[in-house]
Amino acid sequence: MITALIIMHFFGGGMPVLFSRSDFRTVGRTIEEPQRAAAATEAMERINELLESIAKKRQETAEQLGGIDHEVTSREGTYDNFLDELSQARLEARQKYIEEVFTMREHMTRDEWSAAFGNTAE
Amino acid sequence: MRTGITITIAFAMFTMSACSLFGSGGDPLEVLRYEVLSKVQDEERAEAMLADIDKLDELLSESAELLADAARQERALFVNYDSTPQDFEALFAEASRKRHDLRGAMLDVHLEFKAKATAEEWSAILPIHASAISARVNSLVAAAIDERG
Repeated sequence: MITALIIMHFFGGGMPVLFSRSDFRTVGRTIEEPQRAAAATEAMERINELLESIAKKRQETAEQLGGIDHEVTSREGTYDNFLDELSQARLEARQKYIEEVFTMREHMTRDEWSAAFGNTAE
Repeated sequence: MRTGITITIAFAMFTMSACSLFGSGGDPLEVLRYEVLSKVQDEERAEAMLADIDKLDELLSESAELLADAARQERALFVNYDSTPQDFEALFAEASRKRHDLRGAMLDVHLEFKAKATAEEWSAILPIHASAISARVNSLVAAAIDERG
């Protein structure tokens, strides 16, 4: 159950999904200057590494909680310790994610961004 | 994207394995309710545990809605060239607060459920409990991924 709870609470929930190879190709093709294209795709790589690291942490936490859930006497604090640690890691990842999104944006014009990702703003 | 594909594959594998246990299209929580009724002989405690399962199911559904909403909003901010870091921070902070509240509520229900069982009953229920809740969560997450597109 606790594994499920972790998946529910820490999968997605406002966190983005990884960029695919196709996203990298699209951004690389859309940006005309190679230097800017390289800087933008490097930021995308860092975002993917960040999301992969938080996914790994989530998995580790799920395994730890799965272990303590076997005990009928497990107390809330026991769960909270692991969950708080995961929340903190997630918080830090989120902040870095925002920084990297805006690094990408620094290297892309409005038109390039719109061409690569589609600007849905009204 | 890659995560979506991985989760889809994992979900498909899970569904295949879960189908034998829960039957295709069946409510996994019904299996858990049956398990509680068959393993907990004390009727009063069994009824109270069934009520906990209902409460937990409501919270899981609420979590799934939160997941889908937050994902949609994050995507909208991402594609909008004019969004600011503060927009992202506000969205993440709000989602985080709601998630924290739901986490507390779910843990409370989970611990209340466990507290009603004896050690022997819990050991007997645990395998089905874990599988049933996971199946329910996976179906909710899959629905949220579909919504995300």
